[in-house]
Amino acid sequence: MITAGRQIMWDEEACSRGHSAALEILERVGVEVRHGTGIAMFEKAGARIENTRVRLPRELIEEALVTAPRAFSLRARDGDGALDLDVRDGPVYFGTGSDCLYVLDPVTGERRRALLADVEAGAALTERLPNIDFVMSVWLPQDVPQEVVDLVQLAAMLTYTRKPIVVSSPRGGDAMREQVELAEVCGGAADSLACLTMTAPSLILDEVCVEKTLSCAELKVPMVLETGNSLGSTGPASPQTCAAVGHAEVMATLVLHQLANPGAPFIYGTGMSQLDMATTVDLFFGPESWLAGHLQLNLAQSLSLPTFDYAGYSDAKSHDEQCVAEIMSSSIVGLSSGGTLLHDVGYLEGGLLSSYEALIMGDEFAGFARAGMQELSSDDAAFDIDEVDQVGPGGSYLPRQSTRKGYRGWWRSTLLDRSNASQWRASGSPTLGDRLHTRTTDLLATAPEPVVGSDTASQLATLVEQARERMSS
Amino acid sequence: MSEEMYHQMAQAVLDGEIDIAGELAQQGLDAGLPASDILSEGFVKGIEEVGDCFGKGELFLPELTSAAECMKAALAVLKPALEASEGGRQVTGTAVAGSVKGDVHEIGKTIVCSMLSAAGFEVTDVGLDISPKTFVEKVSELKPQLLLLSALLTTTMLAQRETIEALKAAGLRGEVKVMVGGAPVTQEWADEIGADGFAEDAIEAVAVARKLVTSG
Repeated sequence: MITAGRQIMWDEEACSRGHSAALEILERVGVEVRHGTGIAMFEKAGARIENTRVRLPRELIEEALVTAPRAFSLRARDGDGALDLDVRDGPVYFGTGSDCLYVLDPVTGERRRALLADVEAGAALTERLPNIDFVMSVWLPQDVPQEVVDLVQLAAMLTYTRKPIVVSSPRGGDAMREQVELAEVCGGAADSLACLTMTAPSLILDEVCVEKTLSCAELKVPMVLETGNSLGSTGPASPQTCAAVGHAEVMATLVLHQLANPGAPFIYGTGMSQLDMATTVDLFFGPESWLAGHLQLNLAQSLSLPTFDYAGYSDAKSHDEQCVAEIMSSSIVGLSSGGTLLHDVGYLEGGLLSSYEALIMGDEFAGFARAGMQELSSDDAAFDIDEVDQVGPGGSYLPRQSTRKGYRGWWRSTLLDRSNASQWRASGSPTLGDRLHTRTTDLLATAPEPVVGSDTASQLATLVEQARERMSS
Repeated sequence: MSEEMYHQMAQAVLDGEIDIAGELAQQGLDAGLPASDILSEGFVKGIEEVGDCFGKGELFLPELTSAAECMKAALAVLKPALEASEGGRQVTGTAVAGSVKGDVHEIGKTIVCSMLSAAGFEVTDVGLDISPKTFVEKVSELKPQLLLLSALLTTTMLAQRETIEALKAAGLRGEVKVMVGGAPVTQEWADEIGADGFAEDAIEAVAVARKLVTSG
């Protein structure tokens, strides 16, 4: 497990107390389960049922934690496994967010509703961004039939990127099966998709949540269970109590998931925001919600579960100084927290908006964070004392072979200015915004390039249309 | 003595003392104070001050929401006496609010209801996951000036359209102004489904609601 630089807010003892608090919430308060089969499964396992309120004895959580796997793969469709993700507590991966309604148009700068062309271009862009390891559908397109929007989004991602995909369908029922079918057309399988499922705030497992939990377990699609409580509104204002509530929701859903199929892959999603008490806007970027989310993450890590956390996002509405500050700092904090899958890179306006520029900037800062927080060995071979002896006091390391080999692995920026003042003025004194715009224009200059052939694209379209016909009949 | 009691009522609202608000309302009735005066001189004074302080950035959402809960508690006690009296209750407007079918998110709606209460509206929050049929029944029963439909998801947003269609089918569309809101909702969507008003956030919702009740 990579722990170098990992930010631990709660140690093992504190996590044990937090976990106990969550178990007490589940025993005393319980969760609302809005699904008959889900309630029946909990009841059969020994939970106490009162209408739709389910109170779980702690033994159920303990059993689920025994069977929940701690490591599995999330596969790419690149054929050689180079892009596969090793999903466990340890490695850290960056990915985009999903379902933003709005996009900042890269040409006009206008804030407009997202279209299918944006989903496709976004997927093609993320295929080329070196620090994006997994992909979600950045935008929710408004120009496609909404009853099959999830399938259209997935077809677009399968067409334009080989990287592992996390889907986020709003449907339960047959949705997961239909999505796996699409992935199979492109050489993928159940383990080349992870499925984002959410509880409803707070302590509610609604109908869609239960249906997705059961179908992911059955099909062995890695399921991300993400909570979404907002400090001081849908969740307690106390970060510790809010973390315990979120943890309780994840544990309850894990119980159902493992009852459905013991050993099915499960990823713990932390999700915390906070309400701005003056503007009424729900914020993603606030120190209090960072803190509460971090506590919840530490709870997950204390159980060695792979996690789904955040990085590279902002509440800004434009590519301004706030945007840069928030994307950079959340990249560093995200990486240092050690979450397995860090999503929402490129998110703006709390997830209502994203942009090509924000994706590119998020990718850049993810690379910066990675470079500055690598785990480095300290064994004997790490210390080249012979080199120091040969160079001697006051000598230069610049022409040495060790430097020639070493510097090539250093991070190189495509956006930050590293020239001196004269050089910078001579080039027109460009700002970060200017350089970002130029880089975005360059990357979007070529049309999105499919990674599958036209036959495959055609099969995907056919499957989507067949699903649409089934729904309307 | 009545001045002292009215002051305590206003203070309870300012302090968010939800448990005490109902007791104070009953004490006022027991002391022979008119229900309409208890409301206008006591509790409404408190919520007006909270609303004013919110507008100035001196108080915030938690104070506003707890003030609205105090009003609700007081009105529960005062309602029979208010209905029996000649003047009744003077309100800015009346509204029914709910999250549409399939939607179990309500924090946005709760905040809007609180802010409308603070602005002098009489608001009935009918809860979550409300079918078009139930909305129609509530409009028929309560005859509000406004119906507020909240949806957080693009999938549940479609139920806003279904609810408006259900009002038309029941012959009630002309009896109520419909406002829609929620994260995926836009002015374009509101226009497309024939809603009368849209607001991007709770603060705007109050302005839109005022405009709709005064425009007739």
